[in-house]
Amino acid sequence: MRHDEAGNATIAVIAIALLLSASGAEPASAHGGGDIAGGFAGGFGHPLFGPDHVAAMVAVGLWGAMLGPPAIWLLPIAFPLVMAFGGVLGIVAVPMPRVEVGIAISAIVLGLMIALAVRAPLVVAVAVVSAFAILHGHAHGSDLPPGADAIAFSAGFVIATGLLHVGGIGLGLVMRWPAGRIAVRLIGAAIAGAGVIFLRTAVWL
Amino acid sequence: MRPGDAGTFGGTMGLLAGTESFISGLLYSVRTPAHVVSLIGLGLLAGRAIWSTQARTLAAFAFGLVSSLGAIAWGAGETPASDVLLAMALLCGLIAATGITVSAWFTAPAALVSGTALGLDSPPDAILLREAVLMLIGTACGDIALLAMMSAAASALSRLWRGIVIRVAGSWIAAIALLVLALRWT
Repeated sequence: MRHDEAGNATIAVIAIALLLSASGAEPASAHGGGDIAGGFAGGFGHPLFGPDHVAAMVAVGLWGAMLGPPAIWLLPIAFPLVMAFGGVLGIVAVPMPRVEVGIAISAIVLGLMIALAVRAPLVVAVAVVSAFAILHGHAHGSDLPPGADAIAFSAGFVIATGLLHVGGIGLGLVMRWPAGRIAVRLIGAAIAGAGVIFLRTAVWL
Repeated sequence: MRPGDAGTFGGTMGLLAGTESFISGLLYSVRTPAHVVSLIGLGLLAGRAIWSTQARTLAAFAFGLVSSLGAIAWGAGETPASDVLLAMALLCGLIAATGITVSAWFTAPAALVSGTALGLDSPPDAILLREAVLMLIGTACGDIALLAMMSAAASALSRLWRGIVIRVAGSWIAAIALLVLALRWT
């Protein structure tokens, strides 16, 4: 797959994100509690301001880039869908103990996959990422606000999650150079290291 | 609703300050996240198909939309249209994400249902009949043009990077629709 095509695809994905966000960023609605702009910003910021989410999402994109096609696109497609299912579990208050611990473990596992350059079979990679997506979705779903701004919040956090994946894939493009491959594995090690800190914090709490 | 307010979903259409009724209707769906999500979802579905299927999909959508806007003009009451709209967005997004090939036998009815739901979810709140009718005409023109643009964009994107952008966008649309439906039903 050519890299200029990858760049075009990335631009197209970002354009779709902008279109959705332009709609979601509409000023406040007249329908009881519908702060659409606040909803979108809140949803968009939800994964971005959680370092454990950021680390895991970037790791998903990086691991996909490392595994190459079809994982490079299958993982970022599977993740939001399964994450939404996890979000539904969070919305209907299905109990899931120690979700934060699971999210920290996701950063450790995905970081190690990259650091050790694990070439997992596609089915295993999708299964691992999907399992963690349920935990991330549950955490987001539990925080979804009721009311008219729900769609803006949902759009915000799905887009932010998707863009973090795209960011991870973008970082992964440096693997075309030998030094880039080392750099990506170092980033994986850093993500795993950060995951250990997240885990310590989550267990402490 | 005050002039200048915008409906979000399941709401009513208000006048944009300083614009005419037609323009207000024209831009209504752009200002309504549920409508944008639905139109992108349907556009992704239609855009992957051949030109004739796209044309049939657009025609079915236009028929459903104009019929339901007509029903609104005749005083149709509140309906669960926004739920149907989101359910259709979920379905379209899932099909686009999984890359399943569907024929016009599926896309046209899907477009008909989406168009009908979109129209029923766009009731104008104008007091004057002339303003309300102009808003509805604007909505019809705006939504049909939006879907045509989405289909054309999706058609172009489907040739890019083996349609991966379409599949990624489909997964986003499905995820958003699923979450909002879950919130609304709980």
